[in-house]
Amino acid sequence: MAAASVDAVIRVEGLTKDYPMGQDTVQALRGLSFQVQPGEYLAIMGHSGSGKSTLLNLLGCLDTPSGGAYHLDGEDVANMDDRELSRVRREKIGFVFQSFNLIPQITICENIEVPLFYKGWHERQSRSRSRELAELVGLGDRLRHRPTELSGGQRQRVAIARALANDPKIILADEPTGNLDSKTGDEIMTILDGLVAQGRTVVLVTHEHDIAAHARRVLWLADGRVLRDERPTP
Amino acid sequence: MTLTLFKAERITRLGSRSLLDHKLRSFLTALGIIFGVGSVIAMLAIGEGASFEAREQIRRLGSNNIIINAVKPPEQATGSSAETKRMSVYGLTYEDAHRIQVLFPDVRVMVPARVVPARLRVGDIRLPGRAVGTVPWFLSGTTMRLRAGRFLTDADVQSAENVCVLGPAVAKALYPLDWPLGKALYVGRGSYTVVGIVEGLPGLGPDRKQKDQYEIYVPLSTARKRFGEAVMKRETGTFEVEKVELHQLTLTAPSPEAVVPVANSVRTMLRHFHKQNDFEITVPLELLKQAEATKRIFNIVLGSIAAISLLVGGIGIMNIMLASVTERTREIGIRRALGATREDIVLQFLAEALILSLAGGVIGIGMGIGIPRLVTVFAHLKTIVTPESLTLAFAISVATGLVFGIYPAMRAAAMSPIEALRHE
Repeated sequence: MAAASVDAVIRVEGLTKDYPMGQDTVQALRGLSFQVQPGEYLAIMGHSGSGKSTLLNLLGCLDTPSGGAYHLDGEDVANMDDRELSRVRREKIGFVFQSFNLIPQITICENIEVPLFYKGWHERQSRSRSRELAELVGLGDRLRHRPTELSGGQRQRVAIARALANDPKIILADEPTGNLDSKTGDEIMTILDGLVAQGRTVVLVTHEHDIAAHARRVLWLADGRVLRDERPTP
Repeated sequence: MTLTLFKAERITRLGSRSLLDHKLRSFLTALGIIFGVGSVIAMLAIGEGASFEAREQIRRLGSNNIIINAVKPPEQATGSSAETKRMSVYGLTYEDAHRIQVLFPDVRVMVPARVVPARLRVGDIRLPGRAVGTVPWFLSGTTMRLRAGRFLTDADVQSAENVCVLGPAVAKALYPLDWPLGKALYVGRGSYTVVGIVEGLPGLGPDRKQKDQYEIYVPLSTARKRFGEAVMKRETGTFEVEKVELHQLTLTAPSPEAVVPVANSVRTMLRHFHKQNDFEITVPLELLKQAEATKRIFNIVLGSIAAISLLVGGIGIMNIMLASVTERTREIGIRRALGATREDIVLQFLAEALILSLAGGVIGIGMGIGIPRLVTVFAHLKTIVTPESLTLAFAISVATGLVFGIYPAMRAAAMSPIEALRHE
């Protein structure tokens, strides 16, 4: 396992996260270790309180661990300051959230452009990239619409387009179908499957077995530890 | 901080977008700044106009001049009888003029003047006015100019000619159709030939505020001969006789530095010869200094009012920005997750506050230019909008946006992205 670590896009070793809770500290993660290779399709599963949200925040560089090491694309991100973490998020991570998290005041096109805005892209470039991505997720005709004018499934497709805008190393999807009916959920999963087929690395957090079944590897969490690391053979 | 012009432009656009999403709210927020800036400029313009008027009036009196006016000494109330008859003797004398000439040889021009209230008449047109008996060099002590004909000459004074020069506004009032030169003008029963017309603003006498007084100028000797030394004044229930030789003496000091010492010496000398307090020395230069001091105080007071009104405007901005930060917590979380740094968030919200206050400042400047015009049209007050006041107001509105925008912006940036994303 350690032998292949040079190329691993995610390398986590002995990761811990403690939250102060009044006098006590709650140990949300108690020493996790795993690696994710480029092009992998990983689902993280666990019951609520298992630490999967905490892990997702750490993987997404939205938070820093209390202990252990985390290398993303060869960079030690465990000890970075806020500024550096912002840069890593901007360059290497694409988020897909359960509640879509589009900015309601701006158009679809502008939503997809947000990551490019912070990367300092010029408007003409980012406009054409955003059009491309919208077409990729089948929303090329909705560029001028606002998120509120779209259905849930369409919104999540916009969110996927946005996650791809910065050409990220990993795509983190947090319960991407949680707010959708099963039919539209399937459509979204098809898109994610397609991304993996194109060679992207996708990490999926879910508590639904059907959804996890799309992944080629499932990491079971319980009580802040890795319970099982399964690679079901298709 | 990598704030390039490009980034600034995009952030500005982002800010304007979100402000335009809430037009009414943005407008109401900016209103505080609009009124603040507008009132600052307007008040400064009115203040500047008033002080300009004051300086102009003083300048008209001549900055090197010392003006001595005869004033009626304060007197005890005399009984309650309805008909009072007395003769009051006061004022400057020919002797005074002579003494000053002898004692202060470096005083350049001395313009004695004697003012007699008179009814001016030409044909059927009658005009209440006054005849000023004076000397040929009278004009040099004022800012008036000769418009037509000639002024009084030494010959006029020597032979006490019955000639007169029309003051500003008199020509038009008495000769609406005629060219007055060479025509006759009646003062009481005496007839005078008009030899000249002057223009400008009369700056004579204690009641010089009245701009459009009708004055005619006659040789001092003529005035003495025609009107005598005594002047009768009839008012309701009173009959008064005043004996005044000279009403005014204008001295011109050789230099601005000499004005105050000369004025003081003249005062001491005159006090020595006058039993009663019947003259008043006015030094325009001192008035000028007073006017400057008044203006300074005025500006300080206005400045404080301006500061308070802008403070209120600034608090309005801060209030709305804080509300906006809370309202858009989720958006902040999203932007942070997608790679925005704390600085990006600070700049975004600061830009909104700045745009708000700048727009308010610009509209306020428009108002600040408009209000003084209305004041001039309707209240007939002179107003001057100086470029300095515009710059100041603009700078203050920018500063307000910065000062009151920074705290909400910092608060927005300080939130943890996770907390912000979880916010409902």
